Amino acid sequence: MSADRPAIRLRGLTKSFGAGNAVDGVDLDVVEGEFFSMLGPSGSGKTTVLRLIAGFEQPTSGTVSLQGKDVTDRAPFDRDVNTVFQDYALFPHMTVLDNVAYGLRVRGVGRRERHERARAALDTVRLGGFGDRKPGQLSGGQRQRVALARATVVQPKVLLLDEPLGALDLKLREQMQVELKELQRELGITFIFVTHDQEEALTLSDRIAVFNEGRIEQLGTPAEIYDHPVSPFVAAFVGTSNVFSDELSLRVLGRGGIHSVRPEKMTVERLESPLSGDRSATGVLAEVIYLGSSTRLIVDLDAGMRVVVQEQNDARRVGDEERGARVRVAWSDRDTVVVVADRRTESLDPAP
Amino acid sequence: MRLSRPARIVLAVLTGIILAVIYLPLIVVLINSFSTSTNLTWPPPGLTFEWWVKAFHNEGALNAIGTSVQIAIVATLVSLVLGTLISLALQRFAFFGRDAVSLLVILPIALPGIITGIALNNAFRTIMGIQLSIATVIIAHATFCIVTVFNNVIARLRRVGMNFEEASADLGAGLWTTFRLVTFPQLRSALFAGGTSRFRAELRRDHRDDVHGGVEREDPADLDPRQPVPAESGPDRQRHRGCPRAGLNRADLRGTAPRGGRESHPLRPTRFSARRAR
Repeated sequence: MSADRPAIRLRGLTKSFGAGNAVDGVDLDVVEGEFFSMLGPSGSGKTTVLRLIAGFEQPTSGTVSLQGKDVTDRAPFDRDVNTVFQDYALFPHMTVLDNVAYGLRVRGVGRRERHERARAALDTVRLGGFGDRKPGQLSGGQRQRVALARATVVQPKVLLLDEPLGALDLKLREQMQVELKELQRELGITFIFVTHDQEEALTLSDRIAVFNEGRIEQLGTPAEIYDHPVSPFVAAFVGTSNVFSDELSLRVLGRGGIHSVRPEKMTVERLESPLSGDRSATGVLAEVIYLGSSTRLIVDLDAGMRVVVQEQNDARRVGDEERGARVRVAWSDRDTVVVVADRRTESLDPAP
Repeated sequence: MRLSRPARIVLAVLTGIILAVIYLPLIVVLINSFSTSTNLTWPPPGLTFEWWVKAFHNEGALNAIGTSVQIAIVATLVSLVLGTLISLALQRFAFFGRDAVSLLVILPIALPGIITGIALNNAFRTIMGIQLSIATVIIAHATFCIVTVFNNVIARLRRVGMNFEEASADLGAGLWTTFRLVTFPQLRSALFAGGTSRFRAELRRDHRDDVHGGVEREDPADLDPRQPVPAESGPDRQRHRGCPRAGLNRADLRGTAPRGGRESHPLRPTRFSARRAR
């Protein structure tokens, strides 16, 4: 795990398809053994970056290095990375065992050995005994695991996963998240995980790159990304945020700049009860949504903004407020994240 | 694709009707070929193998069939290989002039057969100075066949997409290995469909005969040994029978009226000249 020889190094990576850049000057180092997520909305360039790393696309400019070797001009089959595709791309005319053994077959591994290793790989994804079936006879979750076995049986240095859980239902997705994490720990290889699901990225990753319009908007650990978003985009995209624009910040917080407060850091209280935070704003309770373990309250502030508050359910909370009631939203100033500093104070404070 | 039960029944009935419309007349002809009657009497008054025996002893007919099969096989094979290569090139790669190539491949079925026929005749004889032969017939037929193969294969390639090829490359397979192990197996049924439909069309000579500019259209009645042979196509034409399509010369082409030219058609000699042996 040396900093000068990362598993993946991208420098000035740019890819344009006709008009505009799908990927616009991405610099990135991914450490060996890391579970790294690329998070962003569709069209943000995260999948294109993955395809550039795999070699399915040629960059317009910039370089891709794997283990310190420049592979920008190498074909996909000449790169020591393997991909788990979004739709799995299992060969429909081959059995599950032949699918998993494919990478070994094209490397010239003998029939007996490759079948043995493919069976072992199927065992690790708990699909032993499914080898003789065709991919069409498997469920989505099983296909997903076959795709994982197929990509890992050739022991790549880096595994690329392109929204691998996107096609699964919620229950299965949560189960597969745990399995992915375990598999990554077991194999000890670098995982590059592309997703548009911020919760998935936060749960699984060692580090996350948040993509927006072909650029990395923020790079950091899940806690850094969640607690200290560096732009309104990240604040809004990763989790739910109440983002105060410059004008609203002046009105509510008494200072300029853009600020963000997480819903779970806020509480809703009656006007007559004592103030619990050092920041507050009054408004009208617009909606109360019961979520089981918590309740989501939507408040239209008098300052002209709608905020979302999420509170854990306890005896005090349940059935406490009614829609249309006048309430106070309170929170602490240290939970107020400065996303963009006040330009007015900056301009008053000339650079040395 | 799952169909509802009523939809399946309707589909089955329609398929049955279409097959009946196509094959019942052919079956009537087949049954009649064993009939002792000479004028399609129904039901057949008696059973005889006479016509079949005659047909199997007719050297011209056998030669014609042999030549047709030979041309069909070679032209089909050539077009399978070339059609697949063209489809892969046009579907998987972007290059200058791709649309033009695509148009050129499809053009032979868009143009009337006679135009392509005359054009090829001119190209072979006048421009290249090649004598017409089985080889030129095969080339001409292959230009037609490629389109069918091309259409089948490119539709399949479009449907399958690049995913499997990318997955294969990702797992370490080179271009050829990917084609052999992944692309080709996906194409097999498309190739089979394209190949067999072409082979069938070849044998039936579905299209106008290209190089030779003929407008022949053989229906099964043409091969009925019981039909009297018109006087115009006497035995003097028999010299062509060794290679019925390739044996033409320019004079034949000119002498062939664009339509209704059957009487003077050079293929006439391949007909059974046997008259009723009564």
